[in-house]
Amino acid sequence: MSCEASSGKNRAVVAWLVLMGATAVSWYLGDGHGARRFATVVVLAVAFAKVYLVGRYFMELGQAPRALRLLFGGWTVMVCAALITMFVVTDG
Amino acid sequence: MTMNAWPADPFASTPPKAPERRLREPGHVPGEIGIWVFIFGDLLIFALFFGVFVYERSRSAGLFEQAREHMNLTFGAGNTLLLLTGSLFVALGLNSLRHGASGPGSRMILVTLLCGFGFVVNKYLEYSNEIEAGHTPSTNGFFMYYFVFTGIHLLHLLLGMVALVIMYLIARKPALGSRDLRNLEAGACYWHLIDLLWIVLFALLYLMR
Repeated sequence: MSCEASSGKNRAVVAWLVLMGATAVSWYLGDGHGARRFATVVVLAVAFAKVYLVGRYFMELGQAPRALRLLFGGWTVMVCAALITMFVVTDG
Repeated sequence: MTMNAWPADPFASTPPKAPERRLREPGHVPGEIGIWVFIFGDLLIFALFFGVFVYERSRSAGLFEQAREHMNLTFGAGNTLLLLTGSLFVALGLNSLRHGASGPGSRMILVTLLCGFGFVVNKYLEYSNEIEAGHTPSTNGFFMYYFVFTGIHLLHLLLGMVALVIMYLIARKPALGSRDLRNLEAGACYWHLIDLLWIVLFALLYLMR
């Protein structure tokens, strides 16, 4: 296997391991562990961090044109910030 | 005088073709621009869904939390793991196909298809459990959003499985051209979109408390 094929494979496997670990952390927090408000903010932040990883390493946006990367990164940050703000502001 | 890699052949009817470009270069658009127009359109629509859900949840937090406590987290987490694993295999499969390994590449696409089947079976069991427990879209706001959003996502996934079958057939071709690789990349990006949308739905419907 060529060096490029091997490095592409390694990047995808490492991204998958991180995504699985992040899912386990979210699952634990969503299952009633930790302070409720803090846990929900972390769950939302982790979800969008996972979205970014899927885009960068699985959709291969890491090597895509700058405009595509900015659009995807912008969507991820803006939707994440909007949802967390809505939750924090309205949570009694 | 410049060196020509292809010696002139006055008897050839067409000039010999340069080898197909298979490997990605910096600035390469995965798939083609059309699939990204579709992906960003879908992302905008789902951003609206996510916002509506969090807004509605803030208006009836007690009711939404009570309904959420009925959710079986194992189904949601299991489906997340299936989609993430499917995404890994389609990414590995594409990597293999770019390097001419058609056998392993096509088998990895089949593994992704199996993950998709697993998701559908899991979703069928989950919907059955909820309906048996008396939870339908008309039960309350939470279950209305749960059935509508996960239903729309399931439709995306079924379409993604059709795309995977087409990708498998392309991957089995004896030789892949640059157009085939572009189509494979576009299909893979669509499958990752399904994964990505589920990641957020899982957080909102199952984990947000």
